[in-house]
Amino acid sequence: MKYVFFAIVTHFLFAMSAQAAGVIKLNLIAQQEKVVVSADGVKEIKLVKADKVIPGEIVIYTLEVENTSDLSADNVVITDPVPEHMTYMEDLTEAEGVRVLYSVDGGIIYDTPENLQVQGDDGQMVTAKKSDYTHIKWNFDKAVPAKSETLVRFSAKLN
Amino acid sequence: MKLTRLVAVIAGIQGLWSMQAYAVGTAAGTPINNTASVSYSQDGGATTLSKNSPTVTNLVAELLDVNLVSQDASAISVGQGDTQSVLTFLLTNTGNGNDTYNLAASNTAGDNFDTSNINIYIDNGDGIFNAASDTLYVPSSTDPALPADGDVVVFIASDIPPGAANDEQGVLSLTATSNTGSGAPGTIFTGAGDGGLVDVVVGNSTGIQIDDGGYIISTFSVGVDKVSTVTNEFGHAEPIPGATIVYTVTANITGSGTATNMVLADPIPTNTSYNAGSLRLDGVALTDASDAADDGDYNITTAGAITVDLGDVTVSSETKTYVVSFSVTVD
Repeated sequence: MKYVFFAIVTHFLFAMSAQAAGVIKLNLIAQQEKVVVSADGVKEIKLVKADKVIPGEIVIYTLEVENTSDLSADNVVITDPVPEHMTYMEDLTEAEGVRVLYSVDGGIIYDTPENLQVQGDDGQMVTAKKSDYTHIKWNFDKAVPAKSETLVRFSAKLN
Repeated sequence: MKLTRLVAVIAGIQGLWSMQAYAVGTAAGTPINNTASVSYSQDGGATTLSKNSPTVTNLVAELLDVNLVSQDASAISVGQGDTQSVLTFLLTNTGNGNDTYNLAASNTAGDNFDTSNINIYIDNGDGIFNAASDTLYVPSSTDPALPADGDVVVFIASDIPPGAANDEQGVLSLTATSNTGSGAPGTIFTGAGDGGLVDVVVGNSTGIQIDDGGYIISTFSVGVDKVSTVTNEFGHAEPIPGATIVYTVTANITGSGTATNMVLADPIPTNTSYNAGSLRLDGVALTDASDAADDGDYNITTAGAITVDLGDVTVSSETKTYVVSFSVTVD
């Protein structure tokens, strides 16, 4: 009993010290693509803050990991539920060494798309569609170095 | 790489825009929340730390869209001078919020006649026009209110001019305009959404929909005349037993229009017997069997009667005449 208590305290203190050494921040930004026409008539597609989202429109979610600490961050895993009322569309992550896995059961089991199955209308198990995805997980193969940032990104459609 | 992906996403957006007219989505004002989390370690994997992102919330804006479609498969056949002849439309809120609509009906140019005494009625839900139980439309007073995906049947009732000639057409136009606003797709009405909480974005319908319905004057009528001729062995016209009676049924179809599956049937009078093989259409013999050879039969399609199937009969200005004859013997 005493030992367990000690362990918890240690864990807590360790967590505090890691935080003290620096901070890992996770920012989430919701954006949409808008066609912007400049003064000289050139059309440009820009990512702007999501606003006035209507059914059928696509929102691009960007998750920024910012390592402000002096230590590199290992085993970085970002998890995001597909927001309610939205359908997952596409992973837009450009960073290298990031493996994307999906869940169709509310975030219990994650796997690659070809291994995910759901029950079809006829009761038979079929390969899951994007609309079945409930959660997305990005596994970073490489450490996020100290004083650096990286991002993952995906698009989802408002139902 | 980046460009390719962006193009793919844009194509997706455009594809969805074209679908929006018939797809009602998440209700206006619904909050879309997203919170992500990150886990990591900084001591070689001995301890896993985790952190949540701030929650990002987007309120679903109101998509304003309306659909109005005539429910009449073709122009409604009416007679000259008919009153309050009915055209039927279906008004659908294809947006994702509540809306009310202004309605307006008018005669169109380029047709043959204009109707008068034009009234708009909002159906009471049974889909059948009834001036007593449906609501007479009064602008801004009885504007139909529809929730997202809701629809209502709208009738136009108007009077047909007595002077309209056969086959002439009169077309009326019904316009439904969203009271929330209208404009080019993408037009934004700030704070105009349900409860004033969200913005309204005009969809592909522009918030205004117009559809036409039409009347066609049809004077189609069928006149049937039947005469009998009796002959007997004594050479006079008394229907004594053994006498032969030849019946001649003449159908005169006049006016304009089409009668589908027109069938002429005549029962064999009691105390007489049909003379086998006596059935004629326009002087051409028909078999008594119901077969592919011709369109007549005796005692098959209709028991105890001769039946001639004339099929679809279309007349425009000429008169079509069919003469069916058969004979019986007095018992």
